[in-house]
Amino acid sequence: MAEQGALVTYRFNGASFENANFVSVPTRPTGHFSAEQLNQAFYLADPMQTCCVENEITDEYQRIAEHARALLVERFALYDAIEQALIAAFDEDWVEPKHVIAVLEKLASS
Amino acid sequence: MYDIVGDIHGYADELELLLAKLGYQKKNSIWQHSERTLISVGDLIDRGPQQKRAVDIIRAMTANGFAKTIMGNHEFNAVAYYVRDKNGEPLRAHTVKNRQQHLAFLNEAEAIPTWYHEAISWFKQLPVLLDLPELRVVHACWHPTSVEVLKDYCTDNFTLKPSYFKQANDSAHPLYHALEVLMKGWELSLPEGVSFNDKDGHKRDKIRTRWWLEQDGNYQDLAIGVPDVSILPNERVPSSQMPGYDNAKPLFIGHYWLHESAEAVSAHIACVD
Repeated sequence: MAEQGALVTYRFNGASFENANFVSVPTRPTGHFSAEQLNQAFYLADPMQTCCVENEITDEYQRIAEHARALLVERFALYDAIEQALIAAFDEDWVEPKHVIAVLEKLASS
Repeated sequence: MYDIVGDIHGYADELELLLAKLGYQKKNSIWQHSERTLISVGDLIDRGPQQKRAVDIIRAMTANGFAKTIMGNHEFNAVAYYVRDKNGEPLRAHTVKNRQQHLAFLNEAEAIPTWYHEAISWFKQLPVLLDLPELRVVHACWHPTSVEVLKDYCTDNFTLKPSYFKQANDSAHPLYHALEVLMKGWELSLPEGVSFNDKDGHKRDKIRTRWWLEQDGNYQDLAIGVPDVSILPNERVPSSQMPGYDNAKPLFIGHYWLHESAEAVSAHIACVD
């Protein structure tokens, strides 16, 4: 993996190469996201639309983030850990892939 | 249009983070994008912690038209490790070294034999290269002569015909050498009497090369993976000894694990690994 431990993609739009079109995420061969990093991503994504960002409630998803972190330690995949933590806190019918992906997107951009 | 992703090597979490970052959505358990198609340059497996998940994500995307995937040298080796000849011998020897290189995949695959069998069947169907109207994709090196050799042993979409996997693993067969170039890159013999020790201490008289360099280079410029290039000759390598590239279309490769910022390696070639 290029960039010494990154998964890299190139967004090809038919034109000549532009460095800005390379998009990557670092790989984590050891360790994983901390509860703090997960909490920050949940907070910024606010997947369940609690308006935590507007109200600056930075710990709105703290327990969910800690649950997700515990699932990661149990070797759940990141997507599944986020999904299961959200389902445990809300309801299975309420949690959709787009909610999980919103958190992943924040983690990927952090 | 296309998003060309590099060697995933069992890092499924990072793949899903990347897909999220690229704006892909997950519908009916399949990652997809309404306007874009993912292209994998191969090497989905080995090394990382989530082998099955990485394969399952890309396989589902490919089966449903949201991705195109080519074969990397790791999928090729996985097939050869699994398939046995008529004498019951594996096409790729089950040596300690070969098993060790493949262990992350084997640990997951051997625990689920039906999945292992299905994954190998899918790997066998992967094309060795893509030659699309807009771009080309090959795992390591685009070499027209090797592509021509391959055509004799593959389908119209560059999938190796199953009956030729034995020849593909026979070092005396031209197909073996064509696949070596396409999936592992262009190697260059050093001048008579010149050798170096690789990182594992093995004596080598060939170098892996930056075959994409557009100007003639010397052995030091071209070498990849040589711990100290200053021991290599500082003499120009004749262009006739290198494959070159016709620049007819943008080309995407993976494989090389370039320890540099991701960028195009030439005006018409980008390495995403």
